[in-house]
Amino acid sequence: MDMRRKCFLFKDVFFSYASFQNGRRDRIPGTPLPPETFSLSIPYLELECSRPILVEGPNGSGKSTFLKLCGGLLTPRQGSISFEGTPLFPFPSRAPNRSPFVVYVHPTPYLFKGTGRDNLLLPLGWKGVPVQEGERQLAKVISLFNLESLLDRPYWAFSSGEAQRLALGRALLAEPEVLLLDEPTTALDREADHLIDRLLGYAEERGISLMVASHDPLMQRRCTTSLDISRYSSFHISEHQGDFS
Amino acid sequence: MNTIAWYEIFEISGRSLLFALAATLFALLVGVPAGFALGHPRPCGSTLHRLLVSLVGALTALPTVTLGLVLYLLFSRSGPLGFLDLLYKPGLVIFGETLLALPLVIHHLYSGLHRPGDSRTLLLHETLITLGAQGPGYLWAMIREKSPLVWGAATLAFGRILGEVGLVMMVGGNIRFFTRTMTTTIALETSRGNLPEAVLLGILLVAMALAVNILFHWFQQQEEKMG
Repeated sequence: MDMRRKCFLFKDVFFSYASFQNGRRDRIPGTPLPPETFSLSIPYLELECSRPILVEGPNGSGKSTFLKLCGGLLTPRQGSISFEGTPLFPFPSRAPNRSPFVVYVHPTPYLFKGTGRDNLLLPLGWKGVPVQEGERQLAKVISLFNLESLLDRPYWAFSSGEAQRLALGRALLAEPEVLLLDEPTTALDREADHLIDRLLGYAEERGISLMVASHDPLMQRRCTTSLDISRYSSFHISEHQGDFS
Repeated sequence: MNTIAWYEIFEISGRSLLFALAATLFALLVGVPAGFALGHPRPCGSTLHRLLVSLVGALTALPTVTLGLVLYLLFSRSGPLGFLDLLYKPGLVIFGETLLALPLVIHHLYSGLHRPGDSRTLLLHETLITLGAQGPGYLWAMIREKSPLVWGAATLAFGRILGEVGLVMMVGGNIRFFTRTMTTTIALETSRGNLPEAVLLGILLVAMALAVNILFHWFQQQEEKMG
């Protein structure tokens, strides 16, 4: 297991979807926000993620937004986010044949055209993993998530739960430093508890840290640390910015 | 009244098809990366970006004779690029047709990637980025996932180019056995009063456009089946 200290550092971070609604991604501090805008404001946060972290909060409190900020998929309007000292904005360009730093798994994942096997092998191709090594990693993930029956099925023939299992396997094959899971068990069946245990075991074995947004009691029990995101978020209803800081 | 021999009709049809396919290919080679860059699901929102979107939109309505005139002025003997000796050559015709189709390809992709209420494109973009796709890998995956959009752009570009007459006439010169295409022949034969030939060529042109479109759709369906 990788014992390095993996840490996200948030400094004066302010994010609002208002910038996207306008089709703009400006980061000008103090720009007035339109009324009824969700925003996330994190003055300072040091997040050690060597143990699985549960991101908590009611619906609409910004769990997905927080995970996407950690994954470099959203850009804050102001402030900085770094992982192990590397700023996430602009998104760090990965050196060829290297794993991505952080991988985010959507609650309703996107499956690429092709079969289940194609979906699993695609990130390995981007990483430049040799075929034999890729097949060895693939075999392990297949047995971990019971994916044998899904390998030759076309992408449009999966149920939500099967797609979720496939996406989890695909993300693990990318071998990131941190895996961000957004409601990973919503579509899973009663086998989910075994799957979660196997996922946590595999991640620990490969040195992959986990950050999970979930309402699943099973997942909540397995995570040793939690972060309540609702204290950082607000639903801005005033015409003047500043009352949420 | 001069009539056109059958072999000449085939020769003209072949040239039209060749010019149109070559120009479509070049327009796609340049336009597809440009279209995906401009239609990025998370636009940078800069003034330059907005200006480019407006410019590309405006260029889709560019009168072909205007483009023909610009190219003529550039490539005529006294023009700044006259030394290249390209005027009235097939290469310049294909280049002009490529320029004509380019805004259509880019605009079609941009519009397709920015359909209101379409969250799948953003989901695809985020999935690619987060799984580590970069540069050519990202572009190739985008093309593969959005192939109906690319085939649509190809069909649009091909149709626009095949039916083009003003630009081909101006920079190609309608030279027999060299730059004469179906559209310029139709114009010529109509002016000569050879209406049966003009009508025949018109029917052939429509049939050719239909055949190529059916072929494009067939390719698209095969690709979807192979999935």
